Amino acid sequence: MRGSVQIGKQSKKSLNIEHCIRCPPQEMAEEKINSYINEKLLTEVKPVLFTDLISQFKLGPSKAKKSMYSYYKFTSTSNVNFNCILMCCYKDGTVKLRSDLNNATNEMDEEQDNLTDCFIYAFNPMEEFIPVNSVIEQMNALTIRNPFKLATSTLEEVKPIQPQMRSKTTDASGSSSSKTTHISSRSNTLPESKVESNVAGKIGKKPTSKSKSMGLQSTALLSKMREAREARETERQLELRKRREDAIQKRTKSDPKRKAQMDELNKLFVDDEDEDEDEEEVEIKETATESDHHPVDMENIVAEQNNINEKDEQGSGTGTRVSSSKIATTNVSELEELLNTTTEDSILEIKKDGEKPNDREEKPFTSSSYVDEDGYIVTKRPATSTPPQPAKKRQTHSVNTIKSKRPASVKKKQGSIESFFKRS
Amino acid sequence: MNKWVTKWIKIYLKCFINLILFHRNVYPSVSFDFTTYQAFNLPQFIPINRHPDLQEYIEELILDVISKLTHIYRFCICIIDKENGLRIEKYVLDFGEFQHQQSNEQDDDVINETEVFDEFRSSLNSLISHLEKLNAIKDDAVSFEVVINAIDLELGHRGMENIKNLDAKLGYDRDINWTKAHEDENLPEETEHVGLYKPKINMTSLVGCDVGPLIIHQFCERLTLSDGTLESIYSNMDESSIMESLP
Repeated sequence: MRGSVQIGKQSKKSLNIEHCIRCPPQEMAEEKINSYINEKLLTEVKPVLFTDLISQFKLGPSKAKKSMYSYYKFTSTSNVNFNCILMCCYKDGTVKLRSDLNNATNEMDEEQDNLTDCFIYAFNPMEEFIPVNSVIEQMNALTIRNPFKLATSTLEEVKPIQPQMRSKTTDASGSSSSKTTHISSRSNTLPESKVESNVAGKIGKKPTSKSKSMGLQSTALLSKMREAREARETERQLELRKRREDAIQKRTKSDPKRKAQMDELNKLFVDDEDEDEDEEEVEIKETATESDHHPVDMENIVAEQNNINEKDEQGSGTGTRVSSSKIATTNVSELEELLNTTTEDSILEIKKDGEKPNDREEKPFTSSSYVDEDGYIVTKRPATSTPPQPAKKRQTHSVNTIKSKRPASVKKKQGSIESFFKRS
Repeated sequence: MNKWVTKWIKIYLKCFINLILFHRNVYPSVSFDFTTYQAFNLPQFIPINRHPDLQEYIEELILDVISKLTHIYRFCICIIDKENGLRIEKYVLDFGEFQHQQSNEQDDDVINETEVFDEFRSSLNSLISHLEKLNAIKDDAVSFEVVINAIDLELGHRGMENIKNLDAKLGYDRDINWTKAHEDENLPEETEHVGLYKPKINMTSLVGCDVGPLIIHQFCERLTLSDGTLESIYSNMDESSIMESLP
């Protein structure tokens, strides 16, 4: 086919095409096509593209163009109103949509050498050409095919499984009684997957089942998970209580010894240095539980040993408590050794001095920072780890030390301010 | 009436109103944009006005109409002459056979949005092709108004009441916003227009919708006068008629 169909008054070529169209076997098809165009153009009021004919009647593009033109000739005699969208193709590859037909006829004469094709692209019921593209299945209407074939990714072995799955899902959604059906579908699918996962690939199945259950029963699952978590939590709490009780019982058993020992120690140390004992107490406490923040009276510590221990237990977890009790016992044993070997104060003091560096390491640096200057005072400082009273003591002690330094600087500042005001 | 039907009617009415306002030059054409999205997908490129107040007005109008839809059997957009208030054109949507109550829930699944939009496209294209053939209207010559024909609906009789929330306020506003009008023949008084030819109304039926419960008929009316009062509105009335008569 030459293909140069022109809407203008180019009579020769149109005559040729008319001759072709009027062949008897094509008439039936022509009628069908014309009725289709009529239907779409007049009752549906939509633009008809020649590609619509291609996809509808499985024509080639040239035949579609021809039938478009024949429809145009067919209706040009009757008073059907529609607009033709005219497309021109030129030798240099440009494609133009002719909007000014009056000028176009003149131009065409000039450009005719360049013109390779001119055809009716569409019939439009409106002035404005705004076609809407819909999804078209072009299984048989394609004239050019991609060398590659579309391959669906599902394995052959999986195929027999998937239809079952699909049918189940559709049943579940179709019946629309939500919970019971879903549960049943789940119970069905899981054993199948177990059985057949050995035989066939799991690829197709598992994600679908997962997504189904997650998507539909997410809230139920979440609630289940929450319940399980709560149950675990309660179990843990119970176990904690048991352990605490056990620990308390142990403590009470071991307490009388301690009491006696600590009382003896108290008698020894109270005369000389109250705070040394505090250090030991603090040692025990800090090694046991650093997170413990119970306020402790410095002077009553020894008397209230039991109370403190109980408080420690309450404040800390059982795991840490076990270690603390061990440490406490070790300290007690050391003290026992001390008591057995020598009751002299001087030796005890030396021992304590030996222990002190360890104390410093364990204690927070804030307390030791300003006490560094005098080694002997440092031994007394560590008690500051118990918050409330240390504050008082710091104040009393530090005032003495710091006061000597600070006033000078303060005076300097005041002087500078005064001088500033005087100058101004 | 389920939510999808409500949405579809919103879309349809929005396209309908905007198309009329655009093609009848009620508002300047530069204030319209061809778009497919205006808070929801439109069936195709439709000129939608960009003026925020007008958009809000149309939106509220549509919601108002939908809230009364069970009582409405006709919804009209009238193009009126600014000078004398004459209704020169009238675009009518007939909800006479609209199925408000759904027979059963399965209809939800039966209707597909592509089908609905296909039908909307047909209907709107029919309106567009009709509007394009009409005589152009001069700038600043017309305004528009909205008329509904209703059954069992008495508006504006609510007394003062405590309005506690937005819904109550909207309900009150939508009750108060309408005034009663005569259902006339849409003809001017004959004493004013005495002539050789009596004024006539030209009525054209257009493609409506028929998808599931959405059964809407569409037609439009046009006033023809012989004494030349409409020449102030239509820009090239005589010329076009002359042009049409020519071969």
